Amino acid sequence: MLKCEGIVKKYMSCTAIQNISVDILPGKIYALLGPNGSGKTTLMKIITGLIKPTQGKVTLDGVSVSPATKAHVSYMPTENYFYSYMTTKDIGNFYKDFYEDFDMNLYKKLLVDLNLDNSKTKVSNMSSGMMAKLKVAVAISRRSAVTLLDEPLNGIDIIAREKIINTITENFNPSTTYIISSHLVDELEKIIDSAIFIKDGLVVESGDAEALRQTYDKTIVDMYRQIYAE
Amino acid sequence: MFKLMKYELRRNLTAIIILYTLIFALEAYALYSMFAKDQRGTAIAFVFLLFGGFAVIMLVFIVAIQSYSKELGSKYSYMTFMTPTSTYGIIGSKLLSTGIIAAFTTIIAILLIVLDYNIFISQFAEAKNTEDILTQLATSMGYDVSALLISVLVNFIVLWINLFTSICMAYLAITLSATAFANKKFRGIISFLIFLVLNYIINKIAGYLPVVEIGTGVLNELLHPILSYLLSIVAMIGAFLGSAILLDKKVSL
Repeated sequence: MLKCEGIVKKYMSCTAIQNISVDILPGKIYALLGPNGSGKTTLMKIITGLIKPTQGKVTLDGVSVSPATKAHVSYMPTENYFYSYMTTKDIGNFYKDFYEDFDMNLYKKLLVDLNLDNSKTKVSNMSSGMMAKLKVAVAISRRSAVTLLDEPLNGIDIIAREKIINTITENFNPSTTYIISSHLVDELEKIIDSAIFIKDGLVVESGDAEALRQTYDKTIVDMYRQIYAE
Repeated sequence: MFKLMKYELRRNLTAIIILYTLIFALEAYALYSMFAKDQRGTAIAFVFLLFGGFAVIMLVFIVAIQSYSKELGSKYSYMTFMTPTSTYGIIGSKLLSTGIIAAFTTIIAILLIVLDYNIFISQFAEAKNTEDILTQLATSMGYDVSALLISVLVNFIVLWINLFTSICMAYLAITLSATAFANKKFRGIISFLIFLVLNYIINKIAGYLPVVEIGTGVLNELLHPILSYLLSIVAMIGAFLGSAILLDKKVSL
């Protein structure tokens, strides 16, 4: 479904991604794992079309990254990116205007669940925790083919985290794919089907989560420690 | 693209409202002065209205460029660039929303000019005499009122063509600094220098273009430099396409 072939991304003398090729299958939740600076965010932004790769190609069902693929890819970046004048209501309307797969009812429900239901609060007046929850709510309210969540649990309290994890699993269906990057690997371990370990811009290990656990006789959390402690 | 325009206009709404409020406040002062037959107050109001008009034009220019520059230089850009809109649509939405503001400004300006002119003539007898003298003078030189009105309209159109050409040139310069020079230091300065160079080249080429004789009287004078107007339009389209292609192929946000 989603194919990344020979992706390389260089910034001046720095190489963010050396050479990554991955095949992402539908109906699975992927964990994209790696320490800071390993290339996870860059890869996600390349899939979304926000960054152009130096080499290589990303395709979604055979279509190269373009406005056509953007209609089916939902991305939650780590940065705050909403226009400062917007309220939660404005953001919902914006997404409804541009994305056919945006589920307004789910969005409204998530706003209530995450205590963000004051529709008059401007984004510029929100705390970092509120902003973190809002970004997740927006991204997962799209029922898109591919949902990319970059550190979705950062800055979010444990109760909201559980709600977010539950929402992802409840709304998950065989036609959707989630790719989630997080340092909170133990939180992800419970829900992921596959894992991709990235180090220094290269995929160092990947595969079905259960198969990896059996091969290494370790949990994904312990594998993470082993791979990145070396 | 039209959906993006809605949000583009909304983003710039505050700045536009503030400036128009100022213009309408000045207009209210001008009307009060004219009806009070206060010559000094009327003169002051007209001078400020003239400056206000220039300020609006400059604001349209600044808002259009700042909006694009911010789009490429901040994370707000994700909102726009994640939408399933082509880069032509993204730039087009900015230009069209600027066009709406420009058209609105032109209509308001013409209405205010006509309104103020008529009130001024009706309130000040000396002005009526001066108008009669000027009308006679214009008629003896072969000009008539309709030609003067066309002249005002053509000047507005030329003004906006030049302004939009400059905006498109600025877009191209900003896009180049965000793509070809993305990894360079002082890319903001580079972008500004590119803008100056592009405008210099256009003006230089325009200087070599021959004048064209079309019609007679005011119309002929207005349309003398028609080739340079066409050059501006070609440059505008070229800069628009260049920016959109660069954004599509090269930009990394």
